[in-house]
Amino acid sequence: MKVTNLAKLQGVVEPASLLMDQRIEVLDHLKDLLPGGSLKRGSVGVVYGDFGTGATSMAFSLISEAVSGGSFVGLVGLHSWGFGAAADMGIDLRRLLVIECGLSKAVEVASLLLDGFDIVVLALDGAIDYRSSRSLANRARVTKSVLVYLFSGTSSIAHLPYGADFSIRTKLSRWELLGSAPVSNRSLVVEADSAKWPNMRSKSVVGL
Amino acid sequence: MKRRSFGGGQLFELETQPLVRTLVISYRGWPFLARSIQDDQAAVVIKDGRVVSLTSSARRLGVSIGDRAITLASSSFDLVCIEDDFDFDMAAFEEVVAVAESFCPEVEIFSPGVCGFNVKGPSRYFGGEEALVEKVINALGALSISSAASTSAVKPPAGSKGYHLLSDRLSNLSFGIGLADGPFVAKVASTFSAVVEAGSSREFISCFPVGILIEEGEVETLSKVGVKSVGQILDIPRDLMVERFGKVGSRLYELARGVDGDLLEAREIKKRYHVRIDLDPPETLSQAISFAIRAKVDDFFSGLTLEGIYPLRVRISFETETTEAMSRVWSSSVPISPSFLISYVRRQLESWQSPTVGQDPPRSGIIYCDIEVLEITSTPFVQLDLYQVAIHPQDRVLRAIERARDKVGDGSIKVPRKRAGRSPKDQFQLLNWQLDLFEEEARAVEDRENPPWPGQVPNIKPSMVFDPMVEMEMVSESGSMVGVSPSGELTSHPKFFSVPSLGWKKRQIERILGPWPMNELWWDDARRRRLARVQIVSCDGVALNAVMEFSKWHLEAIYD
Repeated sequence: MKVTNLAKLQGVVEPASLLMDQRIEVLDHLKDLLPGGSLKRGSVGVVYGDFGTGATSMAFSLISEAVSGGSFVGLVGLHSWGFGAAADMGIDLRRLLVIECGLSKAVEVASLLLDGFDIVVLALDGAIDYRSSRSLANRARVTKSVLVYLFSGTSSIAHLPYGADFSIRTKLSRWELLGSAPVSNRSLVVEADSAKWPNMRSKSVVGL
Repeated sequence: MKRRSFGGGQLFELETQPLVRTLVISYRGWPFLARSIQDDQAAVVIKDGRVVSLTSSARRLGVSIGDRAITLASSSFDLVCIEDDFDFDMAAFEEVVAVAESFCPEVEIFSPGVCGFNVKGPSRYFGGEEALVEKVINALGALSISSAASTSAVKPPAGSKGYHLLSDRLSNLSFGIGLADGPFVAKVASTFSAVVEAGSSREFISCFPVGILIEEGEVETLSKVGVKSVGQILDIPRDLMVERFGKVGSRLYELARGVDGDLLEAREIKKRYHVRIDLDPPETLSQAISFAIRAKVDDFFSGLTLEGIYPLRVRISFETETTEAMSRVWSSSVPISPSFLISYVRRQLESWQSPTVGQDPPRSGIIYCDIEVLEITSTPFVQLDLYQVAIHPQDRVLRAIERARDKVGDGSIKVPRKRAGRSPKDQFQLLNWQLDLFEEEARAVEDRENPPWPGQVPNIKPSMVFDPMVEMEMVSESGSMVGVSPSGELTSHPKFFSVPSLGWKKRQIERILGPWPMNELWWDDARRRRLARVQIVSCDGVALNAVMEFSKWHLEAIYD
């Protein structure tokens, strides 16, 4: 190609949007857990942990900032969502859509919702097969939405779903127990993993 | 190798595909014409609570596309509001389609108000393109559709070449006619009533602003990088377009060259994007037919969706026992959903069985229905409809919900709402999703601090609420079951709990709070409930709510 043509192209191929704009913000105290400090559009994440360790709360707090920013979030699958906790975290319930369906339909529904919803949380009680997770990851990449798997009641996963960019495992909740007051403050012990830097497993304590 | 990651094998230059000469008939503002509303009358079409189309006098009043219907109603405009009604518009458009069908047996309907057909056969039969256009104009002129805005007032941008206007003959008619290579350029040409010469699509379209190709948001992206006209897109090689703009880029590249949509190769269509539904015994009622094919259509579409394919253009054909056949092509600027396809099927059957002018209805029952996908897109919401231009960001959400609803049915799509109550289960309910639930203003009651409910567990709310509750057991150190006395005290100090259905064996209790007794609806014998609620924190950090009712413990919620 001639040099003159290159000069002409330069104006055309200037960045249209910076990578910074292609992400969804999260609450400040979660920034250390995520690669790049935010949810990258088109990425896939996993949140898991045994019942009571705080996996559901972690999922809610991941979406909380996005919802405040006007994003719609779809919650797909069978899960006993406690919306009181969601409302406590400042999530506007009018921007949540809940679709209750079994695994066979949940994958398909999640793939439909990715097209329009900024974040889709797919709650599953067991592992997802390679083929489904692969098609979901591709869908998320194409639609520039974020897919978050929530495996509640699962303390360890043999294989992360295909394309997972980060995983957060909640290990333990520590409650501040004061006298005869009901439970209020707690901190979560979590283990975060990023697919890009496999050796960078970090353990941290997050107040929720 | 690195470059291949930008979309598989798409980096080759576009092969020149043969485009058929297409004639497009377009009525600007069809919903208004169909209801005999003149352009000097202020009127708007409302869809999902938003304005999607309006007359020019409504525009003069300050209304614009995307306004909310509620705000219009509260202002004092003397405005006619029409609810968007595809079936009505289509039924009214039937007489135009019938005229088109008298020239060509297979007419493609783009939207109510815009249809077209391949002129290859007709132009030979009627003695050339000029003669054909003349005949179409005369036939349409004979229809009694009142004229609204004259279409010939607009002219293509200066610099466009390779076309001539039909304006002298169409100056006082309500419709526009465009003749060009391929449906897309023909649609553009029809807004100006122009005939674009064969092979001149590029010259014709290159001076147009990029806005005719894509949506508002994308236009901004393009103009930021300095691409303002279609011609500039033509200068950029395909691989750069794909690299920079992804799928949108490749689509722009094609549209700028007049290639409308991803044209499928014939072989591939036969293999995968084609479904034939046999009706046995033969059926005549359109309602019964659309009901019978519903399940197959759903299957077909969900298969497509899983592959990330959305049909934009489909051909629907029927055949009767007596070998009469009818087919029509339907296209849409947004992906066609199963429910839309069914309404196309119904529409087409009805127009066949009760023709408006001089055609015969089929003499026997229909034996099969054939659905063939002609064009697809993998990026929904790219192409702009030239007439109904509004796509809201929220529309994407609504459309996603619409598709999910087609999949799981009405009852499974819910939104959580706050309400008053004692148990975590009662404090929120899941309502069936309706459009207005997204729009509704925060209710005053939600903002007000909830009055205290006796029997409610105070402070933070649990993040997992079981409905129905799960059975659990609680025992004291000696192994005896813990109960609640009539006065609301625990009978012994609990030490361990277990929840068999969650797989929790004996867990040690670090702390227990409560009980909070509750005697609900004691005046109503049938619905009265008497229970006691406790909050438990186990030694390994699990906090939960448990309820004692009918001498049994139940797990109500976990602070997960």
